[in-house]
Order: sequence, then C-alpha cells, then structure tokens
Amino acid sequence: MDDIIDDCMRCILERLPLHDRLRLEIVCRKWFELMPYADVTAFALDDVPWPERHIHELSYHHNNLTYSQPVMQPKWFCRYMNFLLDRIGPHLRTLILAPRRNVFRPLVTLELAHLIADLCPNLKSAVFTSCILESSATDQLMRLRYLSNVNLSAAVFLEDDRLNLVGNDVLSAKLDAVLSALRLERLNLAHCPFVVAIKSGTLRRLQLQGSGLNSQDLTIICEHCPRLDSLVLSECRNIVDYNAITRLSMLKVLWVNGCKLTNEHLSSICHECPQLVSLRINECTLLTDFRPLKNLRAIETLWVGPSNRFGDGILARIARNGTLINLGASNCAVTDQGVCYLASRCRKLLEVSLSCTGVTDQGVIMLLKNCRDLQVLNIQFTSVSNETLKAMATTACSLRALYVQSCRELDEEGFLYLYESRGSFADDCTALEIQAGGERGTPISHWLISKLQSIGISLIVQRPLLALPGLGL
Amino acid sequence: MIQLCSNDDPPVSFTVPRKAVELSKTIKTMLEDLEGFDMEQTPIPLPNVDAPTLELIVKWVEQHQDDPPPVEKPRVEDDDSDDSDADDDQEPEVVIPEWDKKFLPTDDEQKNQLFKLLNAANYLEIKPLLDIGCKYVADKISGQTVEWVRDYLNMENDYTPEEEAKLKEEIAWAEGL
Repeated sequence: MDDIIDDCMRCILERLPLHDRLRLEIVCRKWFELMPYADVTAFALDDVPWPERHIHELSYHHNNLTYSQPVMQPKWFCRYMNFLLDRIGPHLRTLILAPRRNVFRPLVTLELAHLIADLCPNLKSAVFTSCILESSATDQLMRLRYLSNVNLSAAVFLEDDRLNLVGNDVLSAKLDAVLSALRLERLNLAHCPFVVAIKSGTLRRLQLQGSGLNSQDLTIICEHCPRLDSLVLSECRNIVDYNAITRLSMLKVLWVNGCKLTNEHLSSICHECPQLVSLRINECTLLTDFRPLKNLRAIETLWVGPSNRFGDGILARIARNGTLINLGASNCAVTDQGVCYLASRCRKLLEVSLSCTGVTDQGVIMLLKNCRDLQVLNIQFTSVSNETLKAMATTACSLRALYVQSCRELDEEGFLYLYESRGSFADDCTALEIQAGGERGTPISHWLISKLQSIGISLIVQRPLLALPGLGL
Repeated sequence: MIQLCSNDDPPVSFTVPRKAVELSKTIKTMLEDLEGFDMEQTPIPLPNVDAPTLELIVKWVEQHQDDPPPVEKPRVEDDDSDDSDADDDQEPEVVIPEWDKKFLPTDDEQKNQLFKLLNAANYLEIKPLLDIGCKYVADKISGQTVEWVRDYLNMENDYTPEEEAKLKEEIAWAEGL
C-alpha cells in the first residue's frame, strides 16, 4: 500500500535525466519494463557520459599526409549506440553526433549507419558535425524517409574498410546522388572540402560557407533548388559569378560575406530579390556601390563594411522603410547624422554595430532614446564620451551587451555615474555586459567593477587593470 | 462546501471549499456528473486515501485554490527545430514553489507518507501536485546508486544473478565507466 503505484512511478522516471534512466533499469524487472523513453525525441552525444577506456587514436591518410583523431573503437561505439537506440530510437526525431565536450570524434561506420536506419525510422534531423564517416554509411540515410535536415559540416569521409580519405570527386558524385534523392529541407555542408551541386526541389535552407563551391556549382544549385529561402555562401572564394542567385524568387536570407561579390552582382540581386530579409555583404572587398540596397523594402538584417563608400546617404535610404532590426555597419563612413536618422526611422532595432569614427554621443544617445528594445550595441573606436553612459543610465533597459573598447573619451566617471543612477531601478533592467578597455581605452579600477557587478552589470576590461582599488578616482 | 471522507474505519471527513476540491479532476468530473444533487449534504468517500494523506491533500488544494489553471499546450507535431536547439519539444522544467517545498513530507522517516501522497494525487488527478511530488522524488534519485534507489523506494531486486550480471555489463557504459 505504501509503495508507489506504476502510474506515479512512470511519472517519476520520466523526470530523470536520460543517463539515469538507462543505468537504473537494473533496479528491478518492473523498472526494466516501465522505463519510459517516449519523450526522448532528441539525442546528442553529450546527453550521456561516455566511457573513456575504448578511445584510441585513429590515423588516416590523404595525399601522403597522415591525420590522427581520437575515436571510440567501432565495436564498442556500435554496441553502446545499439543499447541506446534500442530504447530511444523509435521516438527519436533529432540525432546529433558531434564532438562537443566529448574527448572523441564520432566514427560513423557502415554498421552504425545501419543501426541508425534500422532503429530510428522517424528521424527528421541528422547532425554529423565533425564526424568521421565511412563513405558507404551515407547510403543508409536514404532509408530514412522522414529525413529533412542533414548536417555534415566539417565532416570527414573515409574509404570503406580503408583508412584513406575519399577523393573529393568521388565524394561529390556520391553525396550528390544521396542528398538529391532525399526530400531535404535543410542541408548544412559548411567547411566541407568537396562540392555538392545539389538538386532538390524541396530544399529551403542551404549552408555552404567555407566550401569550395564555384560559379558553375552555384548556377546548378540555383537552377534546381527553386524553393531555397536561405542560402549561406560566406567565405566561398571560388565563386566569381553570383548572378544565378537572382533566380531564387523565394530567397529571404543571403549571406555572402567574404565573397567576391561585385557591384553588378549586388545590383542585380537587389533588383531581382527585393524580398530579401537578411543580407550579409560585409568583408566583400570588391563592393563600392551600395545604392542598390535601397530596393530591399523588407530588409531586417544587414551587415556591411568595412567600406568608406557606405555613408549617411545610403544608410538613410535603407533606414527609410523602418524595417531594420539588426544592422552591422562597422568601419564605414557613417556619422551622427546618419545614426540620428536611423534612430528616428527604425525603432525596432535590436542589434546595432556602428564602430565608425564619425559616430559620437549625439548619434548614440538618440539611438538609446528612440530604440527602447535595443539589446546589443557595438560602438568600439567611436568618439563617444561619458555622456553616452549617462544617457544609458536612465534609458536602455533592454540592453544586454555594450561594446565600448577603445573609446578614448570614456572613463571611470561615466561608469560611476552609470552605477549611481542605474542602481535604483536596476531590477527593471536586463543584466548587462560591458566590454571596455582595449588598445586605446582608459584604465578602470577593480573597485568600480565590483560596484557595477552588484547592480547586475559585468564590466570586462580588455587590458591590465589598475591593481589598487580606488585608484583613478 | 464539499465533504470528503477517508477510507479509515470509522472514516474521517474533511470539509473543503468546492473551488479547492475541483483542483482534483476526478472529483470535479464526479461533481459535474452529479449535477442537480445536493452535494453539500453528501460526503464523498475516497476508498484509496487514508486520513493523514487526505489531510495533506486538503491542505494543498486549499493553498492552491486560487492558482491560475495550468496552460495545456497542444503538442506540436511538426516542429521547426534547429540543429542547435535539440530539446525543443521537451516539457518545461517543473519548479517546486517555496510553499510546496515546505509542504512536501520530505524527511526520510516520512517517505511512505510522501509516496501515499503521490498515489493519492494520481488517483485524484491533481496534476500540479503530482508534478511537483514526482519532480522531488526524481531529483532525489538522480545520480544515486542502484542500491540506494532500491532502498529508498522499497524496491526488491528480482533479477537472477545471471540476468543482473548481464544487464550490468550492458549498462556499465552509461555510468561512464
């Protein structure tokens, strides 16, 4: 009578972390039968502790070079995964095999891939970031009919039964076939050395940053993946022609930072894809003409710069629609005039990065007063003074990060003012992190840092502090 | 006011405001089914609950009668989870409120009372009470040894030594050994 009935017991067991459930099956037969796993729909390697005794260095070769990675012996890894997936597999929708805190990299052998395909029939999302895969293991993905999200970023592929890396051409052809056969919605092939010119009518989100993609591949992708709404090509330096992107009539997110985008490309993209919501063209050194950006009537996130050709005029043209939420325009020719106009039009701004020498108190204070939702503000290397901190003390309650490194005019007086006037209503404000100091910043004492800490502001000074408390005051 | 009777002999009865008693889905449904009868005069017998447990239940529902009803979120079948946020559709973490922390019979000598309370909360379908009680027990068990758990929950090891050895070998890795 005093024992917990099964219904209650199930309710208790459901609240245990996964690894407790696994190891406590041994308590009694009833628990073995009762142990609930139906709520475990996502699993990442870090969810359970892994024994370290079967970990060894795996060496593989490529072009006469030898690479070495810690992996768990396949026999044991499969055995453990079998035990695990036997229990959680049927309900699993997200499987994340990525080395995070783990001391080994997951080695996905053909046998393990078989297991996954057998035991996790409902998998929607398969993440193999930084895994080492036997190349035939990828074929097993085709058996997962609900799979819509595949992430192979920074993965390494080995020839079957041999410790050689697969040649990029072979891999491209193989993955092309596998991935195009799936009804994928999301695919992440970031930092993969091979290139897959995927053809998928269902694909919506594609990440290829840091890959070797060239213009021809991009053209194939844009032609065959008409439903793409998000395309990340950051640092893809092999692409010289971006015109194919204009075919993507549903594109909302385009990141081409660090690419060889030209003025003509930008112009045609802005003209043909006015629906863009997020555009990153920072670090595109060939760009000099930003006027086409004014066509983007729905733009919420825009990252540009460094460029002395992006100034107040063009910023005003973009800000006029009032759609901006996240703006990165550091190292540009923006001055207070542009910032004031921005602040008057875009009241919904959440994140702003305006590390421009032409920006002073006037612009920043206007921004703080008008944009009450502002959460992140980066104004490093600007000429803002203590006045900005004074304005912040009474406004900017949503701010959670402020970057003011190398702002020469800022000193302890401003921070002290911030402490004194914010103290009284600090409870209504978000916890704030301030990064100060930097090459040109003024020194700040430990005493002040602990004062600020007491009202929820952590001040991080990137330079040796004054050792003695109170100095500098 | 509604009268509730324990299963003792003779039964002990408690008088509880209707609003409080309706935190129990079981009783709420019963009262709805008996709409039209004068329930104020008819004590409701609870064959599965003894007097000390019923006293606790009454104390809890009276304390929580003005709580806003829990929001029942429909399970989203086709979620849009990202790579990064894998634990999207997990239930929100139960937090045990301060009052409840003091209320729960948490001394080790009282553990049988705690288990009776959980069983009663389950029988009476008082989900928030069941949630915090189960959360308390789960937190208590988490990280403990198998032997400790058996002892705490009065569970008997009914595996044969061979079965246990085999299972132990299989499970050993989950201990990080």
